[in-house]
Amino acid sequence: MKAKIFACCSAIALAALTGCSGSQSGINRSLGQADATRSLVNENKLDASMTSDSYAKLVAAKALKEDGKIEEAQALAEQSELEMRLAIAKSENEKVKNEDKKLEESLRADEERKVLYQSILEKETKK
Amino acid sequence: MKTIKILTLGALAVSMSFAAEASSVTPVDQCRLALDNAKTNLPSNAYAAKLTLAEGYGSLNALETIYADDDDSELIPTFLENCKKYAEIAKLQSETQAIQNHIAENWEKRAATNRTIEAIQEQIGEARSGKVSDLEAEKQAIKAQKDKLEASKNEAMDKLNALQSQMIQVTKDARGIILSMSDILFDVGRATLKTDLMTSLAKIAGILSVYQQFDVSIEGNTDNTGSEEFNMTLSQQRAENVMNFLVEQGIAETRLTAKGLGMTMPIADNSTKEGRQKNRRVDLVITDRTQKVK
Repeated sequence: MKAKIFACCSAIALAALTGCSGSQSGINRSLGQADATRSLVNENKLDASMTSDSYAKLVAAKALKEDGKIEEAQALAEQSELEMRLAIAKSENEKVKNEDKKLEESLRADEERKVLYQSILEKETKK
Repeated sequence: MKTIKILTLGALAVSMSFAAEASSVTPVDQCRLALDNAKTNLPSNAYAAKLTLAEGYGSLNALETIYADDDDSELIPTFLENCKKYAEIAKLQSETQAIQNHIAENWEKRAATNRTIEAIQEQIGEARSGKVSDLEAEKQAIKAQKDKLEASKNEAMDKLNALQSQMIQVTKDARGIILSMSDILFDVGRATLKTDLMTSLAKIAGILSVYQQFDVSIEGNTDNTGSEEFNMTLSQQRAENVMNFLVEQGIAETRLTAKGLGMTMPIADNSTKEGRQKNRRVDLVITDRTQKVK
């Protein structure tokens, strides 16, 4: 998942840095990128309420392209794609926060076990 | 009313001055500010966030170009929105990476803690097994000591049994080993020890000197002939004389006691000659001190 996001980001970064906005190839790339991100969202089974707006924007971007409004279409496609990436980033962030919380609890339990065993050892060696 | 008007005008002036100030912050500035904020506290290994920021700065360049061409362009709000999204995503990715770094640290801490726990558990195991072997060794030592004492006691018993004769009866009861010496070994009505008695007592002293765990209670007894007072005195003197002889033979006085019981402890019928003969005696009650302790 992370690798896919990373690859996705790299491609977008490259596109952005090479200044492709406004061109036909630029809009195609943006739309393709948004579609690929949508697949990632589906794979990640994100809450539909987090991504429904971005899907609508993607559909609208495609319509704008059909109408020949390339710049607007590209800006909207990029916006749609960014909203989906934001949803993915939020989901990832929540996941690691939960993992971190659980791990903190496990670590605390381990520390308590350590203290318990230390007290047992002290008793055993004092007798 | 006048006051209200003045206040309203004042508020309007203040809000206008804020509006003027806000309008001086261009969409390009807003985009740059959002991206620069997202860069703060960025973990060095937050590569996803860094790439997103690169895209964001690319978007900033595009926005600058559009803004320079036409500061009223319809594309500006969308580009600004996108720029802010890049900043927001980068911020989240940065935070996610920081948490992941923290998770990695905690896994290392857990591993270290668990290694410590295992080491402590081993130490507890060693402490416990050490105690078990100590306890086992102690048990074996106690058993060996007990066996040794038992063997010693049996050996002593055999030697004391060997003293059995017409004049010395060797018996065993709950108190211990009892050597009953006939009064034939004493002069009639006197407490003086005869030679035969001294010979037997010397043998007993020899045995007692080897087997130090034995104490001896010397009890003088008589039959019911004669006055009670006389019999009590005679039995006491005979017991004391036996004790003194044993002390002379090297037996510690602390291991010996002497008491006259007179006619109070008959072992046979005083109405017959044989019975009275049995009752006139000195008993040496030999007890095992090690068993008393237990």
